[in-house]
Amino acid sequence: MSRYLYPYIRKILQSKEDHHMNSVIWNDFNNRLFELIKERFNLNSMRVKKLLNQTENNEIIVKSLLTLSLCISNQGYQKLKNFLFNI
Amino acid sequence: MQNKLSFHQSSVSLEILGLPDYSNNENKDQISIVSQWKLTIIDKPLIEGKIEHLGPIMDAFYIYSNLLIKNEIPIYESKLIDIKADNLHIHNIVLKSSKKNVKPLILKIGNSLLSDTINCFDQLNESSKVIIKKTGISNNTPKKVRFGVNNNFKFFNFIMPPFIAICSLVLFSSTFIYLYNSIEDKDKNELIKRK
Repeated sequence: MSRYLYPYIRKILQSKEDHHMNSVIWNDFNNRLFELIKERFNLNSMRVKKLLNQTENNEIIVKSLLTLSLCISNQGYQKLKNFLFNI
Repeated sequence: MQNKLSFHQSSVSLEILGLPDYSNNENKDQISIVSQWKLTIIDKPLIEGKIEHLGPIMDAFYIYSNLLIKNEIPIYESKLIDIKADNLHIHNIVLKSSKKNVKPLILKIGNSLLSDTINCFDQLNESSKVIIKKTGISNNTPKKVRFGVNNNFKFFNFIMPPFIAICSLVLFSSTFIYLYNSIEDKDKNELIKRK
């Protein structure tokens, strides 16, 4: 699925690379992600709290997006599985 | 006439030039004898080289991306290429020429260009038209998964737990044979008969 989302994932990653670039894309993505987390996750969990903490979550989000962007090939599913096994 | 194959991903394109191996009954449009490759990244200098450089460069990118995702120190150093992370978003690549008196080429790329480059290499690895020594895929497989692929190891894992369970059951139950006192049992039987 990340193959179809690759242009968006790429844009989100790119928006964080250059400080002069418009950060609207990053902020929109961050807001939507927070909304989804608040809707579907257990907010009492410490891990979820860490994910919602804006000072700590930057690295987690960027690395998750990068992992997805590296798994768009035909063997992407196997690659993603390998990455998750390795964490 | 050489064959040319291109792999594109957003801002990066990889071009492979070479010939098919006719002695191996290959098709006209295949490439198995690579003479040259070119990696073009928009707004960056052109990277090109011979086939012996392509493998190490692909390996470097794959190993570096694995280190980055695994939260290990993202540094890769070799005779040909060094890759280091400047910060979470920018990566510093130093390409060292094999020729003397040629200064190393320094590139700074972001996460988007890094993923574009690796996706181009993935396309090359998966292409049936280019037959090269594909080293990148093996590097993507972590040790844990490599063990999983081994059938002997799987079979051993499958058979050992029930075998140990049966052995421990036999050992545990055999101890009761020694605790069993046959004389006491005979006395009890006699008492029952008298009643």
